[in-house]
Amino acid sequence: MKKYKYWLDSLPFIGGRTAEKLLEYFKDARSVYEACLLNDDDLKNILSKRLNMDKVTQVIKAGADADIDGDYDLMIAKGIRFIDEDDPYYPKRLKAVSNHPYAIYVKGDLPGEDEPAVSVIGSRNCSEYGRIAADAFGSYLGQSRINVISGMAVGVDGLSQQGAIDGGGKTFAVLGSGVDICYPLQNRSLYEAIPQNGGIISAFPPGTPPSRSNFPFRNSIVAALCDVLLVIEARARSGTSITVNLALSMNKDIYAVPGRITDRLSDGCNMLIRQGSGVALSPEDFVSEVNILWARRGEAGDVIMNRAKEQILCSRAGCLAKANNAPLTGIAGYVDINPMSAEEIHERRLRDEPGAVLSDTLSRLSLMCVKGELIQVASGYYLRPVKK
Amino acid sequence: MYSSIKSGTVYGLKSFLIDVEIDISNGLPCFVMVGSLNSEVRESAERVRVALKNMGMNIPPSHITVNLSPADIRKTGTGFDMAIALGLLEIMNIIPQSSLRDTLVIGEIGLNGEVKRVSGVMPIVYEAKKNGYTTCLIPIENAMEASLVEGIRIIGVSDLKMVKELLNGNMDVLAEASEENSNDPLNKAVDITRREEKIPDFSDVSGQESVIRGALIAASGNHHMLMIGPPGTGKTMIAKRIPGILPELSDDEKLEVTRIYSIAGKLNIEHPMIKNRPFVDPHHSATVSALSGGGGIPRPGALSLAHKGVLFLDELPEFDRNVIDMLREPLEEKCINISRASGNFVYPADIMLVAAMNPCPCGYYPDHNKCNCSPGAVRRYMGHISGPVLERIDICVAVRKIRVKDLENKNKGISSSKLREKVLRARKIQEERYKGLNITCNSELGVVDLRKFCALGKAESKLAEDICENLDLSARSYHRMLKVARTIADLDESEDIKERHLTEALCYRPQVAGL
Repeated sequence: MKKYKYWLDSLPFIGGRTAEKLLEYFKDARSVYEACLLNDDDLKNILSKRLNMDKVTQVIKAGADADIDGDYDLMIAKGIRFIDEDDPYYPKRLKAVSNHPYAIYVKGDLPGEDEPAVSVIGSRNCSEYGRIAADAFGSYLGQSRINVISGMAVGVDGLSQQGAIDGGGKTFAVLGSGVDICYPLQNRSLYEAIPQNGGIISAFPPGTPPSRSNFPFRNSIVAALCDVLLVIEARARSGTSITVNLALSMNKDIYAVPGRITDRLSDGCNMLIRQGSGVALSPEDFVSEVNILWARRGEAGDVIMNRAKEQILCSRAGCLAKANNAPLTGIAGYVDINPMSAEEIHERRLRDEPGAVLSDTLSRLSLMCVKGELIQVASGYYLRPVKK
Repeated sequence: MYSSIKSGTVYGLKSFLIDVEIDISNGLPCFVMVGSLNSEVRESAERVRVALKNMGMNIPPSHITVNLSPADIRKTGTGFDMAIALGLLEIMNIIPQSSLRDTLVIGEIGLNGEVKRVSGVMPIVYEAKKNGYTTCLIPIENAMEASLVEGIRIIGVSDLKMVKELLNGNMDVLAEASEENSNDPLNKAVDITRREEKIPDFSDVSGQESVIRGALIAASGNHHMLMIGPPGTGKTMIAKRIPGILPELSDDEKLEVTRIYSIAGKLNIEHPMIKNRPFVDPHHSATVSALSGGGGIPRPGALSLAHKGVLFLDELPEFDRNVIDMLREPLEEKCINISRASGNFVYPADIMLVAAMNPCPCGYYPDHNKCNCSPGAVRRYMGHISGPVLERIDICVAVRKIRVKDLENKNKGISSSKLREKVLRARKIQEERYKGLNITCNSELGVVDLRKFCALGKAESKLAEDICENLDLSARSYHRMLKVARTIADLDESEDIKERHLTEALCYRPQVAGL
């Protein structure tokens, strides 16, 4: 039976709604298949309500030509599992959403129903601050055995997932392509590590290329699979804020990592906090709150939040704050964690050492880069990395 | 009846003396021109015929043949007109036989008999002198240019009538017509060029200390330079001032550059001698031919016009990829090979490349408050410049946004003359060091000489090792960095390359953003 369901899900031009309607009429996937082979008129009628005649013919042809056994076995051989909505393994969190996918494809495992899950999202173009935060939070979540779910995108997504693996935990990537396609290519090594440390999930059949139109649906799955959504760095109007809205509509708890008010990359997060989301000031704080929420799941919403607030003592210095307080030697003291031009750094130095020469500052900055104490992000711009 | 007049032409950047042979025979009236001619040369027949008629000297109705020899060199340009006209006049006995012996004749003829200027006169006159000719008869507008060649008599004329009188021994005309043939054309050049356009001064630039430092190092060792920064920050302004801190052209170099400009037809009539280092800034829509040299017989392109000077490429990523890629050869070899059906040409291109670009499509990277470009977009933008070309750029500096307080600052910046002093001192050190070798600047060092002249001490070697390992430099990048370190040490008047010279050189290596 699975083979027929897979066949149905793989039909071109057929989305969730159409599949629903077909199943309503024909009762099961196998019957749809048989109708297709017979070029059944009822089938054509239903399809033509949603597609033009040209596409209807194409669909029926593709459907009839498909190799039911071969295609399915090929997929299984690749290590991909097919989990339709009637399968006992289909995630309950996903089933709870009205617009859930008919089926999902998995390479590796699915997040356990009895394990807390946090989805971490943020800017693809994150700053050094975002990079460190994503890694720190991902890593601590991994250590605390909380599943980290994300889209494996460049930037915050990928970094938090890699952090989770480094921390010894499990992470699950939801893709906008088939599970057999690695996108983006930069995260190839992450893509290969995830199936052994969690799993790769997709609502799209194997072989589907990553296209822009797939990502909103993928984002809704990322939102659906979590218990708490953590936003690390986001601009005011961004893809990230769309995912937040989806999560809100699913009644998920939202936490945001604040940033500098002068930083456009933190606008999204700061605005969420202002609108009443949770604040994640350190990985340890955040994880305690997640654990409390998890322990009290099932109880009424406000009760949880109020109790959580009572129990949290704020401003406990987490690892991030500690790193920032470390004493800085020499020129590094004049360099910010945001990129600064060499001239700006030299100006700051001139305040303390009025006789300093520019070429000397340039030499020292260079030397610190060689030693790894500073990073040169582009010609003439340096920043001080935050230590882990 | 036959006569032969000596003329000349330019082929690529080489000049050749051409025999203009004229023959008048019996037969149906016609005017045939042979000898591998371009269309404008063939048209000489019409111009000459009408000009002579208008001067009252009609061409006999016979079979006239004109041959430009050697017949296998492609002839271009309109400079043969006068030679053809005079050849005819000689056959017609209007001017004395052999009055043009040992004389080179060049010039275009207008329909009214006027003699008009042509390009490439200077190298042709030079060739004539080399071959023992004593006199040159050239258009008066080219006289100043031709007089730059010493040791040959230059006579500038303005119309054919004048030439006829002259050659018939009318002394008065001779006095009017001839130009002073100064014994020292270069001194004349000094007089002339005082009126030449002044190179702007670095003191006009406010702030941008690190860019000026970069320019100083680039000028001292003749390293290629790239400026990266948002629009409107002074990149073009600084580039225009760089020729002013380079050492002055030597006398030989002045003639070399003037030759090229003469062939390109770009000499100023009254002030022909090029004294300043050239500054050429082609628009980014320029094609490969516009830069390397184009046409059936290639005219000098921007690269050759910038020979011994600065080639400034603004908005580097906007240039066609082929154009940027083509720069590889001249940046390394200092010349450019051009292949055409008519032959292979090697043109000089000893330039200092100065380029400018934005760091990303919007221009504000790495300021993430202003820059919304994805890392992919930034990388792709930088990727327009091929790796091999980027590696040959030794000095890469960031140009910052100007703040109002910098502009308002009443103190002027450092002057060009002070900077030039430093450059000259550093160049002198290099001259001494490379005496007897075929190179003049640090940037020209080959790998073998590099080891000799840029040897590092123990601590410095260790640092160099660390640099290569931690920053993953290629061998070429490392060698180029050493050359820059050598220049910085020269500016510092230090014989050895010290740690601080190495580290400063390192900060100028171009980096691909995002990595």
